[in-house]
Amino acid sequence: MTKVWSAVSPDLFQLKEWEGEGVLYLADSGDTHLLNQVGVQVLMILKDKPFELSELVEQLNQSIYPNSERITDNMISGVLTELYYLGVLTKVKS
Amino acid sequence: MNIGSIPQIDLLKTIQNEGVVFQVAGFTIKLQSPFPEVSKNIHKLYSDYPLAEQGSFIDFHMKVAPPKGLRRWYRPQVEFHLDGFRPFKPLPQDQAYAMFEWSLNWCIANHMHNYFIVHAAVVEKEGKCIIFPAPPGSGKSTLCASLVMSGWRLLSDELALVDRNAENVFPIPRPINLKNASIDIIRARYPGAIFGPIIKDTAKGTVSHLKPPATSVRLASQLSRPAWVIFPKYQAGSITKLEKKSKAQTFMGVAQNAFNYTVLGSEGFDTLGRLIDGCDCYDFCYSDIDEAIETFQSLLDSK
Repeated sequence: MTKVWSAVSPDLFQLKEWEGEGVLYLADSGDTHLLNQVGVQVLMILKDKPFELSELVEQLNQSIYPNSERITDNMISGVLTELYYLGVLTKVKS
Repeated sequence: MNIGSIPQIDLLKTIQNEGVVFQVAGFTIKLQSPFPEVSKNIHKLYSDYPLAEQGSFIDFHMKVAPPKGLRRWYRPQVEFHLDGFRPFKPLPQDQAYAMFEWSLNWCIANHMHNYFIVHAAVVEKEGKCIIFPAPPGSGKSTLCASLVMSGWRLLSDELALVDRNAENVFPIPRPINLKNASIDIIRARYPGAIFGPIIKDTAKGTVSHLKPPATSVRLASQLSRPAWVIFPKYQAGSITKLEKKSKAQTFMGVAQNAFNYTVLGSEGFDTLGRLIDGCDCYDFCYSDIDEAIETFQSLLDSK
């Protein structure tokens, strides 16, 4: 069984991005967090469509970072966990 | 009619009795105080501010007065009252004038939530303003005073009031609160500058208030468009350095210096986002005031 990651309802957060970096506002807590480029891209992709980790990594490698060092599952799983604990992602088993 | 047109003795009597009602930019203030030191410095530093028209709505009913009881005479103290409410602990009586200034900052920062309010100095030239958000001790007021004495318009030394669309900063030009060494620095650079009393041993050290230029007070109704957000830092012996700062980092820095970011919730996030969209963002480190003034003139010329 694999986990599919998805963003929570857009009513629960706001994301603003400039030149890769971004700021994330959480409606429930009122907290704001600074996101690096990978965090921003992960959240933007999952806002549009849920993905499994491997699919998400593929997306990032193909469309976002085609010319840079390859992103690995390990690099992204930490980002997913952080966003999950911030309350902007959910994971469901499929 | 301005405060300065009232003879000092008449102003003293008015402030001691029914209170003087005057305009500070868009705010109407009523001030009562029995202390001659307060009325004397209102006459000196607020001489260019207009008296309010009779019957005007008063935003803040302020009173700076001694407490009841023994502390009226023994180690005399002063208290601030807002509509009869006393939000602060008393201070030594020789800090009465500073208490008025700090209390007015508090009144604006805690009640004007129709604006996004940042702890920042704001100066303007040619219709474009620089917002300098910074915590105390960063050299913000010294820089602000130097720019203002060199031809920039003062919008505020303490509070940037940004409208919700982040298109304009609302000016509240008031005396600039200088602390410790910066008092002598500004006094030496600008011998014509008018200061209020030197008040020692306050929570902020030695403080004195610099009178804002009459032009800045006269143009208080003229809004200004934010063009730059710049975080200043005075560092003794440092070279003058203006470095681009990322917009996301700037957003976080301004939020940390905002009085009502959390009060405004998602609207605060939107307003601050729009403000950052429209501004160029920098960190600024300085120790030489002349170089600092040149840097901002070049920045303006390049826009």
